[in-house]
Amino acid sequence: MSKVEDNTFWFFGCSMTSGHGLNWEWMGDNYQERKKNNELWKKVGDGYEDTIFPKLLSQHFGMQYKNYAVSGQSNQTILVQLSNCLHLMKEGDKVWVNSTWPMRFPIPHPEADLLVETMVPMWMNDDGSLDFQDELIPSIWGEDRNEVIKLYIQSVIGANSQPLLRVYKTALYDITLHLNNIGIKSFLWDATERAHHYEGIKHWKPGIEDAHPSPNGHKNIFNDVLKEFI
Amino acid sequence: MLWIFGDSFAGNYCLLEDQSRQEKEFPYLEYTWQYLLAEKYKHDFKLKGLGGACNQDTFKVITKYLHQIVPGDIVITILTSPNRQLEVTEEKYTFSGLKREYTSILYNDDPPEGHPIITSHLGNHNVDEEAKACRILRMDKYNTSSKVSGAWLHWTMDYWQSFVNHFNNIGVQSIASGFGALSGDIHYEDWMTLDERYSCDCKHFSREGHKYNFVILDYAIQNNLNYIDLKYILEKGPEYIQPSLKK
Repeated sequence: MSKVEDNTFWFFGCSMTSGHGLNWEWMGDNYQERKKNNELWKKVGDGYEDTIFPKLLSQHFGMQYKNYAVSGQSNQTILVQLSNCLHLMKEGDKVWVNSTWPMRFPIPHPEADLLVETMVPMWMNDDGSLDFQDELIPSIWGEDRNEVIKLYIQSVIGANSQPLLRVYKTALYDITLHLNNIGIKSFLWDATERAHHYEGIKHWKPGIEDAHPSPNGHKNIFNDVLKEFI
Repeated sequence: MLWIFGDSFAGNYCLLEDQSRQEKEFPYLEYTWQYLLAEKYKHDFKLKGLGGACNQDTFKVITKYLHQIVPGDIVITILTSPNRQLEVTEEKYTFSGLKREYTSILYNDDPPEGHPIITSHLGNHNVDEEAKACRILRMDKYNTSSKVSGAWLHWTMDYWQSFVNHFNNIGVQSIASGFGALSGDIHYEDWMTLDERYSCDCKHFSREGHKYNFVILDYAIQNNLNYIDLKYILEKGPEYIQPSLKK
């Protein structure tokens, strides 16, 4: 019989789960240096790393903490990351998956042997325009990135967000169902439906225009997870 | 259970209502590679291939059935060209008339009437339309660039390896095939043209092709391979799995 502390609480998703604005570990190696180039970090500062709900949850259950969420990434990449880790999960683990906004894609870059995330944050607007979160778009796309990515979405993928969200959300949901069937408690939480319910950094620290959850928002998510899912 | 996922080469494309084709070419059930494998390994089999599917479609179908795949099963996945990609279409019926198959397999239930569906990129566009879209994007080599194909191939292999690891972990043997989809520009269709005896008149497997594919996949199962393609067969395969080449 495994002890609880031998089990892991896994997290997959976008900035809602990475703890964007409060925790910068998602930036990967050398994140302590890399975060210093981020405008949001300059305004918020340090000291809130452990207030994010994934850490609160893993601490609450005394489980190991593994957070694969990365700010700005797509449902497609979240799905692959989750699949990449399936063989490492074991009975008694818990898995959190947050589905994200559908107009984000890994697109093959025309001049690089890479799939690059578009980092388009939200839905396509009725007039066909897209709102870009400039600080998240990789510099590899160059100055005409907005035009190129928009054309790709409109001409190759199509301009409708809803079916794209549906196709990935059902795939993520199928995996969480499978995990629940084999004794791994798993949750799917849709950021597009839930994120706005929680206090944002902009409410917590007026003057900082950022909607990601504040420490209070993270605490509320933590409480809702305990109440609704567990 | 023997699970078969992938594109039309995994499915029952030749079962479309075409009596003349069935009379002339279609290998009745007992001649198909799926049936031959199921017989040899004493499994029932389920065909979950989708005509025209892209690899994302295929992986999505696998996730749908993940909870039903149990230790002792065998999973065979026929990967397709990396140039096929998802698209959104308002035209439910333009995709080879397979709307019902797509909506019931790719979604967990039928989408509401009038709701666009996701299907595969090459399902609705001809080559000229694709090229036009690429020119608009100033990505002239979008579908033909080896770098872009390489990026999608890497993505496909990474994703497939996830399932391999998972299936290995739960005692399920898994093999992907695609005869070149992951090792260069040679796709099933090119492989089929190696010798016309492998190909039926709708460019899928003839009886001879089914028999040959059975031999190859049986070899892969026996040797615990997780992937086999034409490159592997030509470079490493024993003589008895070498294809007949066009003279």
